[in-house]
Amino acid sequence: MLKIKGIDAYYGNVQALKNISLEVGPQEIVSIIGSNGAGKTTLMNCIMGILPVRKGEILYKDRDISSMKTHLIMRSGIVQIPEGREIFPNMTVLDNMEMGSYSVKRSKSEMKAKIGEMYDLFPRLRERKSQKAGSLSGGEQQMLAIVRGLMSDPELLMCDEPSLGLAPVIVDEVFDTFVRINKEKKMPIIVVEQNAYIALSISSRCYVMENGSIRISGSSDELIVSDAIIKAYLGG
Amino acid sequence: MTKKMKIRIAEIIILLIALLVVPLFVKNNYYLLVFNRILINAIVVLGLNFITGLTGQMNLGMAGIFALGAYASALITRYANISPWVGLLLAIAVGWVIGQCLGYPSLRVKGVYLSLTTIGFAEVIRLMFSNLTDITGGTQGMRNIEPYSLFGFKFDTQGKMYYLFFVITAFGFFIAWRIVYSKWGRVFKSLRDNAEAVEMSGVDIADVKIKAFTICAIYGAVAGALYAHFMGYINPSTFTIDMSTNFVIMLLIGGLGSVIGNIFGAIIVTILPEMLRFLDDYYLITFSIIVLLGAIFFPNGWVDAVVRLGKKTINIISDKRAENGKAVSR
Repeated sequence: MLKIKGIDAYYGNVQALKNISLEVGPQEIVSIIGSNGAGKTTLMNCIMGILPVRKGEILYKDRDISSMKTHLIMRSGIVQIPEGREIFPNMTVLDNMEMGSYSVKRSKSEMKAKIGEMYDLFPRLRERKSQKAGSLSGGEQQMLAIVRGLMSDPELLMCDEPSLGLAPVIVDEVFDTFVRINKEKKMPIIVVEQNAYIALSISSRCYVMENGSIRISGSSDELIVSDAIIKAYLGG
Repeated sequence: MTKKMKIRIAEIIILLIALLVVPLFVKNNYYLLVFNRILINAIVVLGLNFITGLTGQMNLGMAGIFALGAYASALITRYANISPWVGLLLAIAVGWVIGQCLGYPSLRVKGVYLSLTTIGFAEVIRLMFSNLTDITGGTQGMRNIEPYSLFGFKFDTQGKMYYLFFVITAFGFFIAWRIVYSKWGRVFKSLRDNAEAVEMSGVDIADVKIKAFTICAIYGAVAGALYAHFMGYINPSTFTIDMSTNFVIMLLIGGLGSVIGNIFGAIIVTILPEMLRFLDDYYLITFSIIVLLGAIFFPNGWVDAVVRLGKKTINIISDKRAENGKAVSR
Protein backbone atom coordinates (compact mmCIF):
# COMPACT_ATOMS: atom_id res chain seq x y z
CA MET A 1 0.00 0.00 0.00
CA LEU A 2 2.49 2.54 1.25
CA LYS A 3 6.10 2.55 0.17
CA ILE A 4 8.60 5.10 1.41
CA LYS A 5 11.90 5.24 -0.44
CA GLY A 6 14.87 7.01 1.12
CA ILE A 7 13.32 10.27 2.29
CA ASP A 8 15.15 13.17 3.93
CA ALA A 9 13.37 15.97 5.78
CA TYR A 10 14.60 19.12 7.48
CA TYR A 11 13.38 21.61 10.06
CA GLY A 12 15.20 24.69 8.80
CA ASN A 13 18.81 23.52 8.52
CA VAL A 14 18.47 20.65 10.95
CA GLN A 15 18.07 17.29 9.34
CA ALA A 16 15.24 15.44 11.07
CA LEU A 17 14.94 12.38 8.87
CA LYS A 18 17.85 10.60 7.24
CA ASN A 19 17.24 8.23 4.37
CA ILE A 20 14.13 6.56 5.73
CA SER A 21 12.69 3.63 3.83
CA LEU A 22 9.62 1.83 5.00
CA GLU A 23 6.87 -0.32 3.63
CA VAL A 24 3.33 -1.12 4.70
CA GLY A 25 1.56 -4.02 3.03
CA PRO A 26 -2.19 -4.46 2.78
CA GLN A 27 -3.96 -5.61 5.93
CA GLU A 28 -0.98 -5.50 8.24
CA ILE A 29 -0.30 -3.56 11.41
CA VAL A 30 3.11 -1.92 11.37
CA SER A 31 4.55 -0.27 14.43
CA ILE A 32 7.22 2.41 14.60
CA ILE A 33 8.91 2.69 17.95
CA GLY A 34 11.67 4.89 19.27
CA SER A 35 12.51 7.33 22.02
CA ASN A 36 11.70 11.04 22.21
CA GLY A 37 13.04 13.03 19.29
CA ALA A 38 13.73 10.00 17.14
CA GLY A 39 11.67 11.48 14.33
CA LYS A 40 8.55 9.34 14.53
CA THR A 41 6.06 12.18 14.43
CA THR A 42 8.17 13.94 11.80
CA LEU A 43 7.84 10.88 9.62
CA MET A 44 4.05 10.96 10.04
CA ASN A 45 4.01 14.65 9.15
CA CYS A 46 6.02 13.91 6.01
CA ILE A 47 3.59 11.23 4.90
CA MET A 48 0.66 13.61 5.43
CA GLY A 49 2.41 16.38 3.51
CA ILE A 50 2.61 18.74 6.49
CA LEU A 51 6.41 18.79 6.33
CA PRO A 52 7.95 18.86 2.85
CA VAL A 53 10.26 16.04 1.83
CA ARG A 54 13.60 17.13 0.35
CA LYS A 55 14.72 13.84 -1.10
CA GLY A 56 13.19 10.50 -1.88
CA GLU A 57 9.61 9.56 -2.61
CA ILE A 58 6.49 8.38 -0.85
CA LEU A 59 4.43 5.99 -2.95
CA TYR A 60 0.84 5.29 -2.02
CA LYS A 61 -0.84 2.75 -4.29
CA ASP A 62 2.09 3.32 -6.68
CA ARG A 63 1.44 7.06 -6.85
CA ASP A 64 3.94 9.61 -5.54
CA ILE A 65 2.20 11.67 -2.86
CA SER A 66 5.27 13.45 -1.45
CA SER A 67 4.38 16.81 -2.99
CA MET A 68 0.60 16.64 -2.56
CA LYS A 69 -1.36 18.92 -0.22
CA THR A 70 -2.49 17.54 3.12
CA HIS A 71 -6.20 17.55 2.47
CA LEU A 72 -5.75 15.79 -0.87
CA ILE A 73 -3.59 13.10 0.71
CA MET A 74 -6.29 12.64 3.30
CA ARG A 75 -8.90 12.38 0.57
CA SER A 76 -6.90 9.73 -1.23
CA GLY A 77 -7.42 7.51 1.80
CA ILE A 78 -4.69 8.07 4.40
CA VAL A 79 -5.90 9.29 7.75
CA GLN A 80 -3.66 10.37 10.59
CA ILE A 81 -4.88 10.46 14.15
CA PRO A 82 -2.60 13.17 15.46
CA GLU A 83 -0.49 13.07 18.58
CA GLY A 84 -2.15 14.50 21.69
CA ARG A 85 -5.67 13.90 20.34
CA GLU A 86 -6.26 17.30 18.71
CA ILE A 87 -10.03 17.13 18.85
CA PHE A 88 -12.27 20.20 18.65
CA PRO A 89 -12.80 20.97 22.35
CA ASN A 90 -15.63 23.48 21.96
CA MET A 91 -17.73 21.35 19.67
CA THR A 92 -19.98 18.48 20.68
CA VAL A 93 -18.89 14.87 20.28
CA LEU A 94 -21.37 14.45 17.45
CA ASP A 95 -20.10 17.54 15.65
CA ASN A 96 -16.55 16.26 16.01
CA MET A 97 -17.54 13.01 14.38
CA GLU A 98 -19.35 14.77 11.56
CA MET A 99 -16.26 16.91 10.96
CA GLY A 100 -14.38 13.69 10.31
CA SER A 101 -16.62 12.84 7.39
CA TYR A 102 -16.18 16.23 5.72
CA SER A 103 -14.49 14.69 2.71
CA VAL A 104 -17.18 12.05 2.17
CA LYS A 105 -20.62 12.82 0.78
CA ARG A 106 -23.28 11.01 2.78
CA SER A 107 -27.05 11.12 2.94
CA LYS A 108 -28.63 11.59 6.36
CA SER A 109 -29.45 7.92 6.78
CA GLU A 110 -25.96 6.84 5.70
CA MET A 111 -24.47 9.30 8.17
CA LYS A 112 -26.67 7.92 10.93
CA ALA A 113 -25.64 4.38 10.11
CA LYS A 114 -21.98 5.33 10.08
CA ILE A 115 -22.23 7.12 13.40
CA GLY A 116 -24.06 4.11 14.85
CA GLU A 117 -21.25 1.87 13.66
CA MET A 118 -18.75 4.13 15.43
CA TYR A 119 -20.77 4.03 18.65
CA ASP A 120 -20.60 0.26 18.52
CA LEU A 121 -16.82 0.53 18.38
CA PHE A 122 -16.71 2.75 21.47
CA PRO A 123 -20.10 2.56 23.23
CA ARG A 124 -19.02 5.17 25.72
CA LEU A 125 -19.17 7.88 23.07
CA ARG A 126 -22.90 7.28 22.61
CA GLU A 127 -23.56 8.46 26.16
CA ARG A 128 -21.45 11.53 25.57
CA LYS A 129 -22.70 12.51 22.14
CA SER A 130 -24.09 15.94 22.97
CA GLN A 131 -21.38 16.80 25.47
CA LYS A 132 -18.59 19.21 24.56
CA ALA A 133 -15.56 17.23 23.47
CA GLY A 134 -13.28 19.25 25.74
CA SER A 135 -15.12 17.90 28.78
CA LEU A 136 -14.32 14.27 27.97
CA SER A 137 -11.65 12.31 29.81
CA GLY A 138 -8.32 11.69 28.10
CA GLY A 139 -9.30 8.18 27.09
CA GLU A 140 -12.63 9.26 25.68
CA GLN A 141 -10.93 12.04 23.75
CA GLN A 142 -8.54 9.52 22.22
CA MET A 143 -11.50 7.31 21.29
CA LEU A 144 -13.18 10.31 19.72
CA ALA A 145 -10.03 11.14 17.75
CA ILE A 146 -9.88 7.58 16.42
CA VAL A 147 -13.56 7.59 15.54
CA ARG A 148 -13.21 10.95 13.80
CA GLY A 149 -10.42 9.48 11.73
CA LEU A 150 -12.51 6.44 10.82
CA MET A 151 -15.52 8.53 9.78
CA SER A 152 -14.01 9.21 6.36
CA ASP A 153 -13.64 5.48 5.59
CA PRO A 154 -9.85 5.55 5.29
CA GLU A 155 -7.85 2.87 3.55
CA LEU A 156 -4.80 3.37 5.73
CA LEU A 157 -4.90 4.49 9.33
CA MET A 158 -1.91 6.09 11.04
CA CYS A 159 -2.06 6.62 14.76
CA ASP A 160 0.48 8.82 16.48
CA GLU A 161 1.16 7.97 20.14
CA PRO A 162 -2.30 6.66 21.01
CA SER A 163 -1.18 5.73 24.54
CA LEU A 164 0.01 9.24 25.41
CA GLY A 165 -1.25 10.17 28.87
CA LEU A 166 -3.78 7.36 29.14
CA ALA A 167 -4.43 4.93 31.98
CA PRO A 168 -3.12 1.41 31.27
CA VAL A 169 -6.63 -0.07 31.12
CA ILE A 170 -7.67 2.44 28.48
CA VAL A 171 -4.46 1.84 26.53
CA ASP A 172 -5.38 -1.84 26.32
CA GLU A 173 -8.88 -0.98 25.16
CA VAL A 174 -7.59 1.36 22.46
CA PHE A 175 -5.09 -1.17 21.15
CA ASP A 176 -7.67 -3.96 21.19
CA THR A 177 -9.80 -1.74 19.00
CA PHE A 178 -6.95 -1.33 16.52
CA VAL A 179 -6.66 -5.09 16.24
CA ARG A 180 -10.42 -5.33 15.77
CA ILE A 181 -10.52 -2.62 13.09
CA ASN A 182 -7.62 -4.29 11.32
CA LYS A 183 -9.34 -7.67 11.34
CA GLU A 184 -12.89 -6.57 10.57
CA LYS A 185 -12.18 -3.93 7.94
CA LYS A 186 -8.94 -5.39 6.61
CA MET A 187 -7.45 -1.97 7.12
CA PRO A 188 -3.69 -1.54 7.35
CA ILE A 189 -2.62 0.44 10.39
CA ILE A 190 0.60 2.25 11.28
CA VAL A 191 1.06 2.73 15.01
CA VAL A 192 3.71 5.09 16.28
CA GLU A 193 4.52 4.44 19.92
CA GLN A 194 6.89 5.00 22.75
CA ASN A 195 5.33 2.15 24.63
CA ALA A 196 7.36 -0.46 22.76
CA TYR A 197 5.91 -3.54 24.39
CA ILE A 198 2.27 -2.93 23.49
CA ALA A 199 3.19 -1.74 20.00
CA LEU A 200 5.23 -4.87 19.35
CA SER A 201 2.56 -7.13 20.74
CA ILE A 202 -0.17 -6.02 18.31
CA SER A 203 1.91 -5.41 15.17
CA SER A 204 3.19 -7.91 12.64
CA ARG A 205 6.28 -5.90 11.75
CA CYS A 206 8.16 -3.16 13.51
CA TYR A 207 10.62 -0.39 12.66
CA VAL A 208 12.85 1.03 15.37
CA MET A 209 13.86 4.66 14.88
CA GLU A 210 16.78 6.48 16.42
CA ASN A 211 18.09 9.98 15.66
CA GLY A 212 16.11 10.31 12.49
CA SER A 213 16.98 7.03 10.87
CA ILE A 214 15.71 3.49 11.06
CA ARG A 215 18.05 1.37 13.15
CA ILE A 216 16.39 -2.02 13.22
CA SER A 217 13.44 -3.49 11.42
CA GLY A 218 11.89 -6.91 11.37
CA SER A 219 9.00 -9.03 12.46
CA SER A 220 7.58 -8.08 15.83
CA ASP A 221 7.74 -11.64 17.17
CA GLU A 222 11.49 -11.68 16.66
CA LEU A 223 12.13 -8.17 17.90
CA ILE A 224 10.20 -8.67 21.11
CA VAL A 225 12.69 -11.32 22.18
CA SER A 226 15.82 -9.71 20.73
CA ASP A 227 18.42 -8.56 23.26
CA ALA A 228 19.01 -5.14 21.75
CA ILE A 229 15.33 -4.21 21.92
CA ILE A 230 14.84 -5.59 25.41
CA LYS A 231 17.82 -3.62 26.65
CA ALA A 232 16.94 -0.33 25.02
CA TYR A 233 13.14 -0.23 25.01
CA LEU A 234 11.62 -2.90 27.16
CA GLY A 235 13.56 -2.11 30.31
CA GLY A 236 15.22 -5.52 30.49
CA MET B 1 -35.77 18.73 13.71
CA THR B 2 -34.83 18.92 17.35
CA LYS B 3 -36.83 20.73 20.01
CA LYS B 4 -34.04 23.28 20.37
CA MET B 5 -34.27 24.14 16.68
CA LYS B 6 -38.06 24.56 16.92
CA ILE B 7 -37.69 26.98 19.82
CA ARG B 8 -35.06 28.89 17.89
CA ILE B 9 -37.29 29.19 14.84
CA ALA B 10 -40.21 30.36 16.98
CA GLU B 11 -37.95 33.02 18.49
CA ILE B 12 -37.00 34.24 15.04
CA ILE B 13 -40.59 34.47 13.85
CA ILE B 14 -41.60 36.50 16.90
CA LEU B 15 -38.64 38.80 16.36
CA LEU B 16 -39.54 39.25 12.68
CA ILE B 17 -43.14 40.17 13.42
CA ALA B 18 -42.11 42.58 16.16
CA LEU B 19 -39.70 44.28 13.80
CA LEU B 20 -42.21 44.42 10.97
CA VAL B 21 -44.81 46.44 12.87
CA VAL B 22 -42.32 48.97 14.18
CA PRO B 23 -43.05 51.78 11.65
CA LEU B 24 -46.79 51.54 12.34
CA PHE B 25 -46.24 52.78 15.88
CA VAL B 26 -43.18 54.90 15.45
CA LYS B 27 -43.81 58.02 13.42
CA ASN B 28 -40.79 59.97 14.61
CA ASN B 29 -38.29 60.29 11.77
CA TYR B 30 -35.30 60.28 14.08
CA TYR B 31 -36.26 56.94 15.62
CA LEU B 32 -36.82 55.45 12.19
CA LEU B 33 -33.41 56.68 11.13
CA VAL B 34 -31.88 54.90 14.11
CA PHE B 35 -33.77 51.73 13.17
CA ASN B 36 -32.45 51.93 9.64
CA ARG B 37 -28.93 52.30 10.98
CA ILE B 38 -29.55 49.19 13.08
CA LEU B 39 -30.58 47.19 10.03
CA ILE B 40 -27.54 48.27 8.04
CA ASN B 41 -25.22 47.58 10.97
CA ALA B 42 -26.85 44.19 11.42
CA ILE B 43 -25.90 43.21 7.87
CA VAL B 44 -22.27 44.13 8.53
CA VAL B 45 -22.22 42.19 11.80
CA LEU B 46 -23.79 39.13 10.15
CA GLY B 47 -20.85 39.18 7.75
CA LEU B 48 -18.22 39.92 10.36
CA ASN B 49 -19.51 36.95 12.34
CA PHE B 50 -18.10 34.62 9.71
CA ILE B 51 -14.56 35.84 9.99
CA THR B 52 -14.19 37.09 13.56
CA GLY B 53 -17.01 35.18 15.20
CA LEU B 54 -16.71 31.76 13.66
CA THR B 55 -13.18 31.32 12.34
CA GLY B 56 -11.83 33.52 15.13
CA GLN B 57 -9.68 35.93 13.13
CA MET B 58 -9.81 39.55 14.18
CA ASN B 59 -10.91 41.73 11.31
CA LEU B 60 -10.60 45.43 12.13
CA GLY B 61 -11.00 46.56 8.54
CA MET B 62 -14.76 46.38 8.19
CA ALA B 63 -14.97 50.15 7.69
CA GLY B 64 -12.77 49.82 4.60
CA ILE B 65 -15.00 47.14 3.11
CA PHE B 66 -18.07 49.19 4.02
CA ALA B 67 -16.57 52.30 2.38
CA LEU B 68 -15.68 50.43 -0.79
CA GLY B 69 -19.26 49.16 -1.08
CA ALA B 70 -20.66 52.63 -0.42
CA TYR B 71 -18.40 54.41 -2.90
CA ALA B 72 -18.69 51.72 -5.57
CA SER B 73 -22.44 51.98 -5.56
CA ALA B 74 -22.57 55.78 -5.25
CA LEU B 75 -19.98 56.36 -7.99
CA ILE B 76 -21.53 54.06 -10.55
CA THR B 77 -24.99 55.52 -9.91
CA ARG B 78 -23.60 59.02 -10.28
CA TYR B 79 -21.33 58.65 -13.30
CA ALA B 80 -23.03 55.90 -15.29
CA ASN B 81 -26.37 57.41 -14.36
CA ILE B 82 -28.03 54.07 -13.71
CA SER B 83 -30.23 52.55 -11.04
CA PRO B 84 -28.81 52.09 -7.52
CA TRP B 85 -29.75 48.42 -7.85
CA VAL B 86 -26.92 48.02 -10.33
CA GLY B 87 -24.76 49.70 -7.70
CA LEU B 88 -25.83 47.00 -5.26
CA LEU B 89 -24.77 44.32 -7.71
CA LEU B 90 -21.45 46.10 -8.20
CA ALA B 91 -21.04 46.20 -4.41
CA ILE B 92 -21.49 42.44 -4.28
CA ALA B 93 -18.83 42.03 -6.97
CA VAL B 94 -16.51 44.41 -5.14
CA GLY B 95 -17.11 42.47 -1.93
CA TRP B 96 -16.18 39.24 -3.64
CA VAL B 97 -12.94 40.73 -4.98
CA ILE B 98 -11.92 42.24 -1.61
CA GLY B 99 -12.75 38.96 0.11
CA GLN B 100 -10.46 37.03 -2.19
CA CYS B 101 -7.69 39.64 -1.83
CA LEU B 102 -7.96 39.94 1.96
CA GLY B 103 -8.28 36.19 2.35
CA TYR B 104 -4.81 35.50 0.99
CA PRO B 105 -2.85 37.50 3.58
CA SER B 106 -4.95 35.83 6.27
CA LEU B 107 -3.34 32.53 5.29
CA ARG B 108 0.09 33.85 6.21
CA VAL B 109 -0.45 36.35 9.00
CA LYS B 110 -2.22 35.47 12.21
CA GLY B 111 -3.52 37.06 15.37
CA VAL B 112 -2.55 40.64 16.05
CA TYR B 113 -0.67 40.91 12.74
CA LEU B 114 -3.84 40.13 10.84
CA SER B 115 -5.65 42.83 12.82
CA LEU B 116 -2.94 45.30 11.82
CA THR B 117 -3.16 44.22 8.19
CA THR B 118 -6.89 44.77 8.14
CA ILE B 119 -6.58 48.16 9.88
CA GLY B 120 -3.99 49.09 7.26
CA PHE B 121 -6.33 48.02 4.50
CA ALA B 122 -9.17 50.14 5.86
CA GLU B 123 -6.92 53.19 6.23
CA VAL B 124 -5.60 52.83 2.68
CA ILE B 125 -9.16 52.75 1.38
CA ARG B 126 -10.16 55.78 3.45
CA LEU B 127 -7.12 57.81 2.35
CA MET B 128 -7.68 56.79 -1.24
CA PHE B 129 -11.22 58.13 -1.22
CA SER B 130 -10.26 61.36 0.51
CA ASN B 131 -7.47 62.04 -1.99
CA LEU B 132 -9.20 61.10 -5.23
CA THR B 133 -10.76 64.57 -5.09
CA ASP B 134 -11.75 64.71 -8.76
CA ILE B 135 -13.87 61.60 -8.61
CA THR B 136 -15.11 61.32 -5.06
CA GLY B 137 -15.12 64.96 -4.02
CA GLY B 138 -12.43 64.24 -1.45
CA THR B 139 -13.18 65.16 2.14
CA GLN B 140 -16.12 67.23 0.91
CA GLY B 141 -17.88 63.95 0.33
CA MET B 142 -20.50 63.02 -2.23
CA ARG B 143 -23.88 64.72 -2.05
CA ASN B 144 -27.37 63.93 -3.33
CA ILE B 145 -26.96 60.23 -3.85
CA GLU B 146 -30.13 58.93 -5.37
CA PRO B 147 -32.36 56.74 -3.13
CA TYR B 148 -33.55 53.28 -4.18
CA SER B 149 -36.66 53.01 -6.28
CA LEU B 150 -38.65 50.05 -7.51
CA PHE B 151 -40.96 50.31 -10.56
CA GLY B 152 -41.35 54.03 -10.04
CA PHE B 153 -41.91 53.67 -6.29
CA LYS B 154 -39.29 55.75 -4.53
CA PHE B 155 -37.91 54.68 -1.17
CA ASP B 156 -37.38 58.29 -0.16
CA THR B 157 -38.69 58.48 3.42
CA GLN B 158 -37.25 56.74 6.46
CA GLY B 159 -40.41 54.65 6.87
CA LYS B 160 -40.31 53.34 3.29
CA MET B 161 -36.59 52.65 3.54
CA TYR B 162 -37.18 50.75 6.74
CA TYR B 163 -39.22 48.13 4.89
CA LEU B 164 -36.69 47.87 2.09
CA PHE B 165 -33.77 47.42 4.46
CA PHE B 166 -35.82 45.09 6.59
CA VAL B 167 -36.39 42.75 3.66
CA ILE B 168 -32.72 42.84 2.67
CA THR B 169 -31.55 42.26 6.26
CA ALA B 170 -34.00 39.40 6.71
CA PHE B 171 -32.70 37.86 3.50
CA GLY B 172 -29.11 38.30 4.68
CA PHE B 173 -30.04 36.83 8.04
CA PHE B 174 -31.63 33.81 6.41
CA ILE B 175 -28.56 33.12 4.26
CA ALA B 176 -26.20 33.61 7.21
CA TRP B 177 -28.35 31.27 9.28
CA ARG B 178 -28.27 28.59 6.60
CA ILE B 179 -24.50 28.84 6.25
CA VAL B 180 -23.73 28.89 9.98
CA TYR B 181 -25.76 25.74 10.62
CA SER B 182 -24.44 23.88 7.59
CA LYS B 183 -21.34 21.82 6.90
CA TRP B 184 -19.46 25.03 6.09
CA GLY B 185 -20.48 26.63 9.35
CA ARG B 186 -19.17 23.64 11.25
CA VAL B 187 -15.86 23.88 9.43
CA PHE B 188 -15.61 27.62 10.16
CA LYS B 189 -16.20 26.93 13.84
CA SER B 190 -13.71 24.08 13.96
CA LEU B 191 -11.09 26.36 12.44
CA ARG B 192 -11.32 28.55 15.53
CA ASP B 193 -11.05 25.49 17.77
CA ASN B 194 -8.14 23.63 16.28
CA ALA B 195 -6.77 24.51 12.86
CA GLU B 196 -4.37 21.55 12.67
CA ALA B 197 -7.09 19.01 13.24
CA VAL B 198 -9.21 20.62 10.54
CA GLU B 199 -6.54 19.86 8.01
CA MET B 200 -6.44 16.26 9.22
CA SER B 201 -10.15 16.04 8.50
CA GLY B 202 -9.51 16.58 4.81
CA VAL B 203 -10.41 20.27 4.67
CA ASP B 204 -8.48 22.69 2.49
CA ILE B 205 -7.88 25.39 5.12
CA ALA B 206 -6.81 28.01 2.57
CA ASP B 207 -10.02 27.56 0.63
CA VAL B 208 -12.19 27.74 3.74
CA LYS B 209 -10.50 30.86 5.10
CA ILE B 210 -10.88 32.66 1.79
CA LYS B 211 -14.52 31.61 1.66
CA ALA B 212 -15.11 33.05 5.12
CA PHE B 213 -13.44 36.32 4.17
CA THR B 214 -15.41 36.53 0.95
CA ILE B 215 -18.77 36.05 2.66
CA CYS B 216 -17.75 38.66 5.21
CA ALA B 217 -16.69 41.18 2.57
CA ILE B 218 -19.82 40.71 0.47
CA TYR B 219 -22.02 41.41 3.50
CA GLY B 220 -19.91 44.45 4.37
CA ALA B 221 -19.97 45.88 0.85
CA VAL B 222 -23.71 45.36 0.46
CA ALA B 223 -24.33 47.16 3.75
CA GLY B 224 -22.05 49.95 2.55
CA ALA B 225 -24.03 50.36 -0.65
CA LEU B 226 -27.30 50.51 1.29
CA TYR B 227 -25.76 53.08 3.61
CA ALA B 228 -24.77 55.36 0.72
CA HIS B 229 -28.27 55.49 -0.76
CA PHE B 230 -29.85 55.68 2.66
CA MET B 231 -27.87 58.67 3.89
CA GLY B 232 -27.70 60.35 0.49
CA TYR B 233 -24.33 61.73 1.50
CA ILE B 234 -21.04 59.95 2.14
CA ASN B 235 -17.76 61.30 3.39
CA PRO B 236 -14.46 59.46 3.85
CA SER B 237 -14.14 60.65 7.45
CA THR B 238 -17.10 58.42 8.41
CA PHE B 239 -15.24 55.25 7.59
CA THR B 240 -12.59 55.37 10.30
CA ILE B 241 -11.25 52.72 12.64
CA ASP B 242 -13.93 53.85 15.12
CA MET B 243 -16.50 52.40 12.79
CA SER B 244 -14.59 49.12 12.49
CA THR B 245 -14.24 48.74 16.23
CA ASN B 246 -17.92 49.55 16.65
CA PHE B 247 -18.78 46.59 14.42
CA VAL B 248 -16.52 44.34 16.47
CA ILE B 249 -18.20 45.59 19.67
CA MET B 250 -21.60 44.70 18.21
CA LEU B 251 -20.31 41.24 17.46
CA LEU B 252 -18.91 40.80 20.97
CA ILE B 253 -22.03 42.04 22.71
CA GLY B 254 -24.22 39.79 20.62
CA GLY B 255 -21.96 36.83 21.25
CA LEU B 256 -19.39 35.34 18.89
CA GLY B 257 -20.82 32.89 16.39
CA SER B 258 -24.49 33.41 17.22
CA VAL B 259 -26.57 34.67 14.29
CA ILE B 260 -29.41 35.93 16.49
CA GLY B 261 -26.81 37.49 18.75
CA ASN B 262 -25.50 39.47 15.78
CA ILE B 263 -28.85 41.18 15.39
CA PHE B 264 -29.14 41.96 19.09
CA GLY B 265 -25.57 43.23 19.14
CA ALA B 266 -26.36 45.63 16.31
CA ILE B 267 -29.51 46.79 18.11
CA ILE B 268 -27.83 47.33 21.48
CA VAL B 269 -24.74 49.09 20.22
CA THR B 270 -26.67 51.36 17.86
CA ILE B 271 -29.36 52.34 20.36
CA LEU B 272 -27.36 52.52 23.58
CA PRO B 273 -25.21 55.57 22.65
CA GLU B 274 -28.36 57.36 21.40
CA MET B 275 -30.08 56.68 24.71
CA LEU B 276 -27.08 57.98 26.60
CA ARG B 277 -27.06 61.28 24.72
CA PHE B 278 -28.57 63.06 27.75
CA LEU B 279 -25.19 62.64 29.43
CA ASP B 280 -23.74 65.13 26.91
CA ASP B 281 -19.96 65.07 27.05
CA TYR B 282 -19.87 61.91 29.12
CA TYR B 283 -22.00 59.72 26.92
CA LEU B 284 -19.13 58.10 25.03
CA ILE B 285 -17.13 57.29 28.14
CA THR B 286 -20.21 55.85 29.84
CA PHE B 287 -20.92 53.73 26.79
CA SER B 288 -17.30 52.51 26.69
CA ILE B 289 -17.39 51.56 30.37
CA ILE B 290 -20.62 49.62 29.89
CA VAL B 291 -19.10 47.75 26.95
CA LEU B 292 -15.90 47.04 28.89
CA LEU B 293 -17.79 45.70 31.91
CA GLY B 294 -19.90 43.62 29.56
CA ALA B 295 -16.79 42.10 28.03
CA ILE B 296 -15.46 41.21 31.48
CA PHE B 297 -18.62 39.81 33.04
CA PHE B 298 -20.39 38.36 30.02
CA PRO B 299 -17.58 37.07 27.81
CA ASN B 300 -20.06 35.04 25.75
CA GLY B 301 -22.14 38.08 24.92
CA TRP B 302 -25.09 39.76 26.53
CA VAL B 303 -27.65 37.62 24.79
CA ASP B 304 -26.11 34.48 26.21
CA ALA B 305 -26.00 36.09 29.67
CA VAL B 306 -29.71 36.98 29.53
CA VAL B 307 -30.64 33.49 28.31
CA ARG B 308 -28.64 31.93 31.15
CA LEU B 309 -30.20 34.22 33.72
CA GLY B 310 -33.64 33.31 32.38
CA LYS B 311 -32.91 29.60 32.63
CA LYS B 312 -31.64 30.03 36.18
CA THR B 313 -34.76 31.87 37.35
CA ILE B 314 -36.98 29.26 35.70
CA ASN B 315 -35.05 26.55 37.53
CA ILE B 316 -35.33 28.36 40.86
CA ILE B 317 -39.06 28.91 40.39
CA SER B 318 -39.70 25.31 39.42
CA ASP B 319 -37.59 24.13 42.38
CA LYS B 320 -39.66 26.25 44.75
CA ARG B 321 -42.86 24.95 43.23
CA ALA B 322 -41.64 21.42 43.72
CA GLU B 323 -40.86 22.16 47.38
CA ASN B 324 -44.26 23.75 47.94
CA GLY B 325 -45.93 20.82 46.24
CA LYS B 326 -44.24 18.44 48.65
CA ALA B 327 -45.32 20.54 51.62
CA VAL B 328 -48.94 20.48 50.48
CA SER B 329 -49.03 16.77 49.86
CA ARG B 330 -47.69 16.13 53.30
